[in-house]
Amino acid sequence: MRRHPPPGRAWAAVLVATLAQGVAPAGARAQETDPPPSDSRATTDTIRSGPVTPAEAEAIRDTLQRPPGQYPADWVDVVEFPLKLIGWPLDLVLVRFPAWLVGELTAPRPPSGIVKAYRSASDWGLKPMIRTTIGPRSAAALELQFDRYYPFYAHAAVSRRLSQRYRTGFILRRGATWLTSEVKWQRDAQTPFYGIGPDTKAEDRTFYRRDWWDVVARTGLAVGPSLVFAAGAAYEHNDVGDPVGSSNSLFDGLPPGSLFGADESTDYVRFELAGTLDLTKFQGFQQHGVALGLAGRSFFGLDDTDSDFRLFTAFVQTYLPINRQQQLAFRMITDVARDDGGQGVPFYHLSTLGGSRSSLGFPSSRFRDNDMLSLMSEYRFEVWRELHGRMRAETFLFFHYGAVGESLGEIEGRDWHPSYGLGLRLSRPTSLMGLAYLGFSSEGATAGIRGSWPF
Amino acid sequence: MALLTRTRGPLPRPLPGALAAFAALSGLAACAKQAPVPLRPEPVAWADTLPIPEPEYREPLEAPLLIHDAVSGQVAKGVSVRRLAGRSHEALNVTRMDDVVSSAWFEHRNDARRLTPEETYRGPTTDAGPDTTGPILLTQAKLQGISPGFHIEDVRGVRYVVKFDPKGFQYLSSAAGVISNRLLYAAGYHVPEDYIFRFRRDQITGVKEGATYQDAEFVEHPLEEGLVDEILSRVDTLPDGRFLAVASRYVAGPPLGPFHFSGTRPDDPNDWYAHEHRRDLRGLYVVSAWVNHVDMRFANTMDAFVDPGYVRHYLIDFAATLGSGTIRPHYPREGEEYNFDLWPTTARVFTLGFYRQGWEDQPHTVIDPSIGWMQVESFDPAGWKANWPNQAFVNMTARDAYWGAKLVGSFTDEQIRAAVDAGQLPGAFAADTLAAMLRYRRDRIVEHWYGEVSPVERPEVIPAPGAGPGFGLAFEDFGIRDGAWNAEGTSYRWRLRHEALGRRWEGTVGATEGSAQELAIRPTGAGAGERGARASMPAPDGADGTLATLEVEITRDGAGGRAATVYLQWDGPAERYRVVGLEH
Repeated sequence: MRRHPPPGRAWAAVLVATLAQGVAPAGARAQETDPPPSDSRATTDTIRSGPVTPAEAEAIRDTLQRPPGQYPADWVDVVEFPLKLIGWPLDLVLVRFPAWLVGELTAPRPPSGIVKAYRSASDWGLKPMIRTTIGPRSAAALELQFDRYYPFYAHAAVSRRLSQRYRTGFILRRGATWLTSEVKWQRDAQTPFYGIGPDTKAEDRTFYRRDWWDVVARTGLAVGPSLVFAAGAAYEHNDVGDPVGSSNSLFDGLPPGSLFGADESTDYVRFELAGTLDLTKFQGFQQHGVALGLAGRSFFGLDDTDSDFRLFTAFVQTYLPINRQQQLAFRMITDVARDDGGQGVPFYHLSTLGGSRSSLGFPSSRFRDNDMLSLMSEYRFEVWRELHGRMRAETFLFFHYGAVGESLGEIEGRDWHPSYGLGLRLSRPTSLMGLAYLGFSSEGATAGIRGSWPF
Repeated sequence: MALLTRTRGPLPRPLPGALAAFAALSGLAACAKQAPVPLRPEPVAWADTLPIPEPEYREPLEAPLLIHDAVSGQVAKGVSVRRLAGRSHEALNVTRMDDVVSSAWFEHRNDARRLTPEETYRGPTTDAGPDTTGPILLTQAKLQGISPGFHIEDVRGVRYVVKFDPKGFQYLSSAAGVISNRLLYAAGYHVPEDYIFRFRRDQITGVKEGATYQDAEFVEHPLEEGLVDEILSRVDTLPDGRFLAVASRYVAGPPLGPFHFSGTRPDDPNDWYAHEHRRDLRGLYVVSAWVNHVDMRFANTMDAFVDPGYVRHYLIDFAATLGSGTIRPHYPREGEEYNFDLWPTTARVFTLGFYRQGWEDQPHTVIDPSIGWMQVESFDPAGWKANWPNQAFVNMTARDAYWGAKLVGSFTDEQIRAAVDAGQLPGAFAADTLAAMLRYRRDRIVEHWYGEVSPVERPEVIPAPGAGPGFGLAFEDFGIRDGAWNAEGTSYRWRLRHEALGRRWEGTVGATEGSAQELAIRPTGAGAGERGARASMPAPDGADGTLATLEVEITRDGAGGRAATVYLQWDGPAERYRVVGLEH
């Protein structure tokens, strides 16, 4: 039986057909003679029904005179061929592969392979996760979360840049209060350092590694649905050294003693206090209202660490819907470091500007000094909503305006660094699933993906 | 060559650069285009019901297909050279009279012989549905997905799929499902037997041995009767305490999985025509638009292996039709935008969110929970969209749409009301309103798609009215028949071309009352004199069997759609024409 090639193979046939001057099925050709046209109504009984075997049917099928089942290639296919040649790899990477992935993850069948292993492990209490960041400039990380013996937990994460984070502890909740205690060891493998002050240059970038661990105990109290207080105490130890995976080390040529924290390990007792007032609420994917928070940490040097200092963070966020699809969002965040004696604030605890927390158009920790202030504004607009309202995509345009300085009062106009750009947010009705952004500044472009963002 | 180029436009100028050589060669290939209508082979009725070895069940994952059609398909459509050059492919399985033959996909029903209201009411059903006089056993249950349900077997051993309405919207999806089932059946498509099913809890008497259900992870477990109560706890009861559902009878023959709207089924040798080039699937767009079947997709189709051993292609599950979105009334967006609609999304990005579609400001008031919400005044027959695009719908041409519109236009008000009555809605208001909606949408569809073409049907050569040369053409104006327009203000512009006899006649005549029309095809203008005299003479030898074309354009107040072309063959000995083809 003659079968026509499936559409997908039409392209391979184009050249052959062209060179052979149109290899079209006979039925599609202009006929040289005029056979007597049949009355289509008379053809209804030409097929035998009844006891016809599949083999006989095959023979009958081969004798049928009927239109072709598929169009042969023509000049339009020739013209489209280069377009399709270009489009095919894009289609494969951008559409077919993600579509296949979605299909495998949502297949209405019992899980198998990696999905089954993932679900089995999760059910047992060991959950692998992808994190977009676990520390400054860590890049994406794989984290294993073990919580089989809840309230106890143990997490281990390693990033693409070999940053690491290991922590274990417990969380106890009772009514409106909670208590947590945790031991954590973290390596920030490749933290950037451009110098201190508002006028540092991008080409002066170096990297350092910071290994630190802490033992912390925290407690919290939720006063109603909107107001939360937390307090804690911790012991913290820090070591810094050459970065992992980069030869551009901060310590190359650094004069000894020129940068507090670079030459020595530090040990601190740390006390924390924080309060958050979240008056925002979700209405059909959109967040409305205001949220503000204030947090303070006091560090007291121990043993050979001659340094006491305080760190403060304050933020205000507000969301102004324009309509169901469009919204403005504003955030102001400030970090303040105050030296209470001794050698002051170690450089790795200074306030920084840059990255998703304070300025998307600049890389993480681009600017560093005692104080940082960032004004972040976004215009968000819906571009797609899933039919049943389970998900939506928004494009956002952002303009961030940030500065660092020895103190907020000393920040001058020339110290401000604007950045701007756009991105795409994917969210569920009451939570962000992830976002991707492309940011620009006077120093070039940055791009990133985040799995979560508080703003 | 005039006839050979009738159905295609002129060839393009050669392309510059490197493609010129290919274009030159492929220009030759392009000459091997479709033969004129009367010379083309025709599809053979029931050819796809020849026995074949039973194919295997197959159910490819739907998500990749939907995503690919939604993204790549829309990009391809947007940059389609074929579409931009006006060289879209017409359907392949078309007869010389611009129709389809009955097949494993479609049967001529209401368009061939108008069903009675009683037949429309009954639809495909052969009895009264699940037999509740005896025990009813559970055979399967469905807990996951957006609408729970179960499968039952009645005392006769007949099996049904049972699905329920969402809480707070009794009759919404069950009535919509049955009503659309009747309409699609009458239109000609293969559908299962769907029934409104009312039952008491105690009539479900047990679980069939070996019955299973799938949990949220799609792992199968033995079915226990207690799950019935879990499912029924999510469902409203009728005032008499019974439960309301739609029961869909298993089709005869083992299911083989869904069919896709493009390509063919590789293990079915009868599946000859690529689905994206099937008239009956392309025209289904119009019928789907009529009943607002936004969930027309791969997963709501089914191939079954029926006696005497071939694959029949069914449409199933009509819960998301009319005003029903299965678990809630339809949103204004449904029927207006795809679930992921690339171009409106792109427009929103580039206009920073200020691009708005009409549906976004549409009030969404559900006037009756049993019928949900459906566009009426804002219904756009050509702009309607299912939730997911498919290649057959994308490929639809005006001719395909007209064919589908004829199916819709064949329904009378009484038939529509009969189909609505099959849904057994709880009140006259709901039934009256829904019937009115369907009538309105039918009229808009007929008005729009008939206006894109010239709906000349059943042409027949008759003796020329009155004395003089020429002949007559009798035909039915479906636009008048189906109420798209009136005879008043309607004219028929005709043009006859018969090169072998040197005939180039043309004329215009106004429509007469009624849909049956007759045109006097006589020599006119420059041809009235010399050629008119020749027309009365016996045709020269060699003209016997030659073809002529008679274009008839229906105009209303000077404007109209594309002309219909009636193909005529000259019968020399009888000195008359006969109709051998029709193209809209």
